[in-house]
Amino acid sequence: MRRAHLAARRARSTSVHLIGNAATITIPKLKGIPCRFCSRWDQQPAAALGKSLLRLGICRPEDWTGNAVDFVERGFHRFCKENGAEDGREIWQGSVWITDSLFRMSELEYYNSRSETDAPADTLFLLAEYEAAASIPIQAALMQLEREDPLLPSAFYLAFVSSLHPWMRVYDYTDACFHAQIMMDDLGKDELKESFYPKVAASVPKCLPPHTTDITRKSASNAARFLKQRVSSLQRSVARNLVTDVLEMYCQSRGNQHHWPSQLAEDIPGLEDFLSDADDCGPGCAITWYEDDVISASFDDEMQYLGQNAAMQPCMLLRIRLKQRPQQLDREVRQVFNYVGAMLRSLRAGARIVSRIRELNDEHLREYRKEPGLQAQPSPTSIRNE
Amino acid sequence: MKRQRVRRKQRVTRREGDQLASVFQALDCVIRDDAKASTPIEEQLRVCPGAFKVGELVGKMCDNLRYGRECGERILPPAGLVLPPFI
Repeated sequence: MRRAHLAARRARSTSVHLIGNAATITIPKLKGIPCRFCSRWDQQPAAALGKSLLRLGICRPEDWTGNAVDFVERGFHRFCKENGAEDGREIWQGSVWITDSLFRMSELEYYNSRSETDAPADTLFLLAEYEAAASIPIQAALMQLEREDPLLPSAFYLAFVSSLHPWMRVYDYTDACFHAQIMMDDLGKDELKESFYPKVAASVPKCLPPHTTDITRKSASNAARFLKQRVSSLQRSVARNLVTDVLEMYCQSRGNQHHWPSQLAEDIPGLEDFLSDADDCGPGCAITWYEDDVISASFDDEMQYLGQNAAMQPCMLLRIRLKQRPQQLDREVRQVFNYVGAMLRSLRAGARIVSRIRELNDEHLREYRKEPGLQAQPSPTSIRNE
Repeated sequence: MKRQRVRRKQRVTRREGDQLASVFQALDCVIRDDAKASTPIEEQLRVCPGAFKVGELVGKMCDNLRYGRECGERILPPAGLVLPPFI
């Protein structure tokens, strides 16, 4: 009944909705045509890697669309997704990619560089870089942890930072103190009085190790052991969640070392020159006490010219040599993918920690701010009133 | 009943094995494809001739829009016109 009624209504209203002549333009459909162009030389290294990924179970037969680059990309995307890339992306602003070139190039530059070579690439690289540093205002979280145990903030901090080190450059109070010390050497007495540099070292909470202390593998493992012992006896859920997550993060990061590009400088032609001309890589996070504090000021001071005069170094570099026996190739590919997987899983736990830290910081601000909603900078309206 | 299930499973496994082998074969073909390098245009034509046909059609369409009317007239389709998406 209902269907007949609708059909009748449709038939009645057909002519009413026709408001113009048909368009004379026809847009062709691209069905069945690959939407990405890849030259044979792009496809060949991708096919070699694709075979290895298929053997390792990272790529699947259904990923095959007729294009080796797409095939590898699909497998790599799925691998990243399975290891928590989407959760991590909410906090960490960076990218990981597989490429046959060490440097980012425009299409024209890429073709020009290709014209100078006489064979497809026999090495692929896995590169990572961070576009921005994630802000981690940690003071409120440290205060919460200190309420449970005076040693907890230090252990938490050591485990957290040592779990980040294999994946990114971390900017924290040790870097800020070092930068401030260098800058203070060039300042006179009057300039020092007006500067924030002397306040940097003084801002470090007493519950954390002094800025001159290096984080070693032993100190990190001691910190993790202490946290494991204390986690079950923590009273507050805030502290318990932070410690549980940092232990998971530490578990994923343990045993991994940062693959800095300079480690391959002697093995890859041209890399040493590139690195010597390039700026440092950008940090993946900035651990401050609270927003707009002296650590933030030091960070801004140090980073303002980064990447302006030269390209920035990638944060990490791993290589996959394609011209080797299948078993050796598979071993190398597995190592690279194990490393990426550990990084993504660790950063997923890290993202949860950072979210909790930010929530605690917001709560702290709400609680201790004398006038809720007070703006740090005067608004244009208040300036006009003045 | 049990036998049927086992047979079905074997059939699925065999099909997956065939699929895997065919992908390996296709990847091997890509690796072996060592024809002498041609110009980039020839290479692009070889890999994706259809895209050139599409490019040519879109180019003609744009030319018609740009030059087929008097100066000052709009070169875009009228507002509200729904163009089918590229698939």
